[in-house]
Amino acid sequence: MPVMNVWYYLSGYIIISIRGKRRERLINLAINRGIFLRDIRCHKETAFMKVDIEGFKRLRPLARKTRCRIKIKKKVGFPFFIYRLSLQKGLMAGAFFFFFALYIFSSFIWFVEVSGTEKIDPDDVLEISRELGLQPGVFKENLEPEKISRDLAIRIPDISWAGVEILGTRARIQVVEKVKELETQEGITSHIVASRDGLILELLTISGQTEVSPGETVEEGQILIRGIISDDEEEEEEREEMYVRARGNVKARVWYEGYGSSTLLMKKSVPSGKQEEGFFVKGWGRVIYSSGVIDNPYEYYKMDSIKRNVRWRNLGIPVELVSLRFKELIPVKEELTPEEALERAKNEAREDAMNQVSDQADPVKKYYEILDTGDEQVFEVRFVIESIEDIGLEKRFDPDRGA
Amino acid sequence: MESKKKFQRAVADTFELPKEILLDLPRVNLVGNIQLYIENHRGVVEYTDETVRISISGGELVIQGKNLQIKNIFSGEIFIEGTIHRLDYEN
Repeated sequence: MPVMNVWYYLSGYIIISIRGKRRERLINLAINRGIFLRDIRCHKETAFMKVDIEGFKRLRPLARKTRCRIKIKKKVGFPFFIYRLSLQKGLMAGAFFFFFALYIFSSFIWFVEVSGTEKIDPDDVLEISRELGLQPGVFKENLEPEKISRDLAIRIPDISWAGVEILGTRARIQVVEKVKELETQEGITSHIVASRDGLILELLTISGQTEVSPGETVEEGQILIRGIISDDEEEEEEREEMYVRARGNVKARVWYEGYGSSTLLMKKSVPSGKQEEGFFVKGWGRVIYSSGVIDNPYEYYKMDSIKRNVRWRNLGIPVELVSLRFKELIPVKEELTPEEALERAKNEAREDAMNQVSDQADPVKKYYEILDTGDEQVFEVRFVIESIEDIGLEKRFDPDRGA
Repeated sequence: MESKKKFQRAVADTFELPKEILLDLPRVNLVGNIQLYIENHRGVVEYTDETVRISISGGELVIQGKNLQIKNIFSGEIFIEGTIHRLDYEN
């Protein structure tokens, strides 16, 4: 039994050998007196056994009586270990000195470290903590971490909180810097309004009073989270209102629609390749000089004009130099098959819708809808992009003037 | 004396009492041939690693075997380990 073995070890026992003709008599006597013998084994004329320390002392006289010779073979156990140690005085003194030194050295602060600084120089914090009495080499017992952390927060204006923690021989100063932006934001009051029409899916209000609930459709500009918190329970006259900066996240399903249309007969203009160029100078409301063609010579045309203002040093002279270029266009009628026309309308609709979609949108569904125009020649297509996005938009208001 | 023993045995039989208590007999517990546990003994008469003689009421119990060792011994209880070959009752 291992548990018993531990007990035997702690209490200590002696392995003895007994020689003599009347060993059995000795064993009987011993057990009758309550001496506890264990593991008796015999080897020729000698019996070996284990006996506890107290039992051994009482066994001695019995051995004399039975004329047996008892010899100690081995002393086992913790008490003997301690006894042997105590004989080695140098070792004991060394061990004692070691623990003493360990205790002494561990009762000083050896390291001071600073964490949590971003803008403040950690050395500044160390410098001030040194003035407050926290530095390497200081006796730990005399330190008052609460007082030092309180004083640190007072002495360094840029920190909002300081904590001194002593971990063994290490002192850790934790610093939380003041966030300046937060202070300047105070005094702002705002609502969160819908940036576009949509169906509310999720609503997370951080501050403010929620005005809508998921599943509701909202219109552009509608207040979603109100920056005025009022207590509905109270009477109308005594109602107290609080103005806050509304914060929150509003996720909504929104639709972007693009339209496109196309007819079977398409009119298009194609440049013919002919072109004329002209140039004139305009000043004080009149044409001062001209060369080339300055009036349109074609029935269908496209005109490019480049205007330049004449400047002399910093002075602007009200004279314009204009060069013109006329390109002749030929109108072409194009006949499309119904499929081509439909495709064309679809492309137009998709482009129209795509242009409206914002960057943060997360499109979940896209589909075409062919609209009934009542005319076989005309196709109209609607392209719908369904997306889920944050439609919350902060809109400030002046609390003095109300919402 | 003999009649007293007979009476005691009859009582023990009738009331189904444990005989070792009423008749002062040893209770011997043998585990295979490796362990022997005897209650109600009266001391060790002889002990070597091949023979252990134990006094019991009305005689002796002789255990023969190899490497016999007494693991534990108290007044009234003995616990023997080793290889047991024979177990004899002698009057």
